[in-house]
Amino acid sequence: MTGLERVRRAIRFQPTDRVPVAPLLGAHAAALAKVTYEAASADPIAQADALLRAVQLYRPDAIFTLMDLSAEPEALGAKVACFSSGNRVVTRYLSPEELLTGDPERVILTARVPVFVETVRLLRAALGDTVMVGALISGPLTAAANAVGIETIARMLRRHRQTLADMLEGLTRACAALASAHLEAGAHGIMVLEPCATSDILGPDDLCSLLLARLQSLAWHIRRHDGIGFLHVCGDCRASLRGLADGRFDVLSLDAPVDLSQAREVIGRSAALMGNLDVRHLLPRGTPDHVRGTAMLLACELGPEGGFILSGGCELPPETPRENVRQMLQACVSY
Amino acid sequence: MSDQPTLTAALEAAVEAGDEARAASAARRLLEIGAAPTVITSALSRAMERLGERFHRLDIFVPDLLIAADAFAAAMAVVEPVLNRSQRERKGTIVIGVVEGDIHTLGKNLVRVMLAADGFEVHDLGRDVKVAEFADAALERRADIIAMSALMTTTMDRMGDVIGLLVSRGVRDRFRVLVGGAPVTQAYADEIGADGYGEDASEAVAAANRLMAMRRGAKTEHP
Repeated sequence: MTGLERVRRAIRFQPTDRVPVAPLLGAHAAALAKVTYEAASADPIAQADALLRAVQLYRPDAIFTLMDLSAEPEALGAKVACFSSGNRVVTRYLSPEELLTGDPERVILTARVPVFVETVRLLRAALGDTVMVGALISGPLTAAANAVGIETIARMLRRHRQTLADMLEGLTRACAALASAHLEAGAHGIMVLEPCATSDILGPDDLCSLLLARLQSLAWHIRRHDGIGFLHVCGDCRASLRGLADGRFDVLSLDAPVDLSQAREVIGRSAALMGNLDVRHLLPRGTPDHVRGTAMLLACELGPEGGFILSGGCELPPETPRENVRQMLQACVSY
Repeated sequence: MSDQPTLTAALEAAVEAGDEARAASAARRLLEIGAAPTVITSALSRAMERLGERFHRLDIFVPDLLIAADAFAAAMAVVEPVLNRSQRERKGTIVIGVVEGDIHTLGKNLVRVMLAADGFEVHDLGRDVKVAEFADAALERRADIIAMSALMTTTMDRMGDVIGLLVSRGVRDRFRVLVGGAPVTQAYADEIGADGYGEDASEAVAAANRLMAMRRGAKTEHP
């Protein structure tokens, strides 16, 4: 069974030879290949090469592009700089008016965004259908938050709701255009990143009234183009699980604060679950035995029913020890 | 003065609803009828405390807290000029900032407002604050607490660097260190030798109060 087959069967709740494993390896892969984050997020050959080395080293069932939430805001017109920490960050936000009067659907494929599309093309050319190739893209709320600032968006949620709704509408079309570009480049799946949909920021009512229909249209768009749709939310989103599942993505990728067994009870079989080893402490700082034990426990709890992909709760930190990543992968082979 | 309870209630309701104009207006009216400025600051504290509790139990969310903080600031802008020295007496002094390499200010800003509402003097160093800037500002302001926030795993280690710098300068004992932010946990706070950790804004305030109590205890033991 290839990695792609394993993932596809798992998300349909069909039996697999083992639980599929798909850590978000981007930043870690770049560090392994001694490629700076700045270079990996600007050069598709460097990024693809780093990711392919990680595939060779760890043999995951899926590989996703580097997580870079500044690429879409930059394409939309925000100013981005590389900080001393190595991360690209937005240094000048757009005003809501600038974003509203722009044409996000047209500009979304500019600036560094094509780097990621080309990375997908290179990955798919190298891996064919043996390993699932996935692209990470910002969801509409997160693209808005990173383009105009999360505090502006949070205030708009309460004071200028219709304007925010209009903004999200345009960005949803832009996200769909970006998903199409990745799928045409060969991606098997699209992971829509919505860290801003965490329950602290977006309560269940806001999620349902403002974002859900847009997520549903994105999920439908991805499925219509034969892609696997993943929705990733960071942090504690327990209060919004039902609403997130109603987004109709094939897979809900959840962070470590969410108990996946409880999440399964809440959402039933409406989506496969992906996650959620702690990327803040366990993976970068835990012992290999601890990583392996925790991964095995998750696989044992969620694997037999199907509908589960083992991963980290978010992208692995660059400094994650190789042995910890290996143990995470090995846990599913031997559980 | 008979309007005072009504106006105080209106002020608290305006803050809880995030209505800047009504909050400022209620504060102004309270001053006009002769209410002591501390009546206003106490009302603001009560409102923010209730909001913190509601946020903690997921009854309200960040957007609600943020607009409430705006209303709090609008009312404080009215009362600040008439607070006299004794009325300005604070629970303690805190320097707060987002660590180097990190520009995510939302959580820090909420904590800043909640700490101010609870009676702390808060000096906001902003975002992307260099390691030495925390130490320099704390010394300059004679701070009791250094509060640091980070949103990214790639930047949170700067918190440990700040503590390391305090140690190497021989001033670690002068300050209590409070940390928070999405990737930060109690275990991490313990690992880097921080004195306190706040999972959210209201817990950060509770932790700051605990640290001040510890500090007062330490001063009593070693006058």
